[in-house]
Amino acid sequence: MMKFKNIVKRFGDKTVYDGFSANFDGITAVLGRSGCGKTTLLNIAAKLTDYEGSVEVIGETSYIFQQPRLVKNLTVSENLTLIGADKAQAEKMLKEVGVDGGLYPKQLSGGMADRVSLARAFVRGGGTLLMDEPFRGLDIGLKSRIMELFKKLYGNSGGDVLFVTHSPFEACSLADRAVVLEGGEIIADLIGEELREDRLVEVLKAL
Amino acid sequence: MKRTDGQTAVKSALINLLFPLVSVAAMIALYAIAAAVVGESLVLPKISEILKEAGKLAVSAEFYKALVFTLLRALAAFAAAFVVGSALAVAANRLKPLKKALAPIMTFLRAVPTMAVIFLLTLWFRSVFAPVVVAFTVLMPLSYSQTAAALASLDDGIFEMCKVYKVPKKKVLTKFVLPQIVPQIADSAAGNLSFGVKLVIAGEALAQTAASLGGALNLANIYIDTARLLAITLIAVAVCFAVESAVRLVALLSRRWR
Repeated sequence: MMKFKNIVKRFGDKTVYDGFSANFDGITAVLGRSGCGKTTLLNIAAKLTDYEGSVEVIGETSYIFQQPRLVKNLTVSENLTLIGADKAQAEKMLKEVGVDGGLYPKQLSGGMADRVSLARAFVRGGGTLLMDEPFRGLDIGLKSRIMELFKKLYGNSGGDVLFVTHSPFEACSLADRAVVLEGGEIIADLIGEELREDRLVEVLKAL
Repeated sequence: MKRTDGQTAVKSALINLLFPLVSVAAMIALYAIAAAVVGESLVLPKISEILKEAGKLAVSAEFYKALVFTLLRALAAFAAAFVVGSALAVAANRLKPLKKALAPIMTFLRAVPTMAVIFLLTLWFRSVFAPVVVAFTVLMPLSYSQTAAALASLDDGIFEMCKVYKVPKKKVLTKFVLPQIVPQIADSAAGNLSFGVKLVIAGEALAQTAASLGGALNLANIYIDTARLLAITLIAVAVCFAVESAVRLVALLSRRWR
């Protein structure tokens, strides 16, 4: 379980979170308006930003950033082995996402680079996975394939996943729970029967 | 018709070789015309006279001694400036207060006129060391800025990614930081080294350093031996070119490593 307790986060004069507390278990989608603090929540979980309060995450953390963040002097395959994956694992995962491991980042299209970023997170598996709009750059066919891969890897893994998305469809297809953030608080928390696209659209439209 | 790889290579070699040769030939022709028009060896000696002087220098043990000492001084100044400038840049990159403290010093050192530095340091130091200190004083802030710029160009996002995925620091250094900054720094270093040779020669000329190219230039100037002065200059240019090419080769190899 991922636990956020009394989180306070400010950027200069702007307070994004003022005593935010929540527990997330399984796969949780985070939605909300741009600038409401969705990415900041992931960065707090990854301890990439200063904050007050406490955060607990289980196991190792993987993070699919909005930008792929690939090391440009390393091949795609080396970008995966850099984080500790062995070569065979790296090649297998790259095959799953359909990118040649021998290419360099500058030889990749935006969508391919995004897929390498996904492969880098997926190859580690388990633990805690943070994803910031992970399927944004993918066409419908690829998106569906990668979403299936994600379900296969994380559906029953027991790990925790927190993913930011603007798509109610993605949230309902992949998550066990969806929360909508506004003003540094959860204003809607949908789970089980409540987690439906029309319900999410309704909440988001009202923002 | 589509060009073959062989044709492209030949065209590229022609462009790389032909155009520089044409510009060198144009410079020589322009000088030859000017020398013929002026017709006064003391002002603009003929190319044959310069080559004759260069020939004399080429067989002079004294000249080789001067050349070697000048190069050693330039190398010493360059190496010291590179080590100190780069070390300060790395430290300043990690410690913000140090960066702030160094900023006015580096700005002052970069802004102060090179001739003022040469005059002052040749007054304060012995003639043997003055040229080295002159070159160090000018090159150190350059090395500092170049290394600082190379470090600043590193993507913070990659450091964050490495932090999340717990990539060992040694791997971050060898797989990301060094491969990205070494080629940049090596490129700048090539220019710094040949600039260092020029600075050392200027310092030697003003400090009248014994056994030095600058000292030899100064003597040729005193005796109004223009042909000798130009011959020494030509050799200094060739030496700078050779030194810069050697460092550029290192830069190229470092790119391959990258």
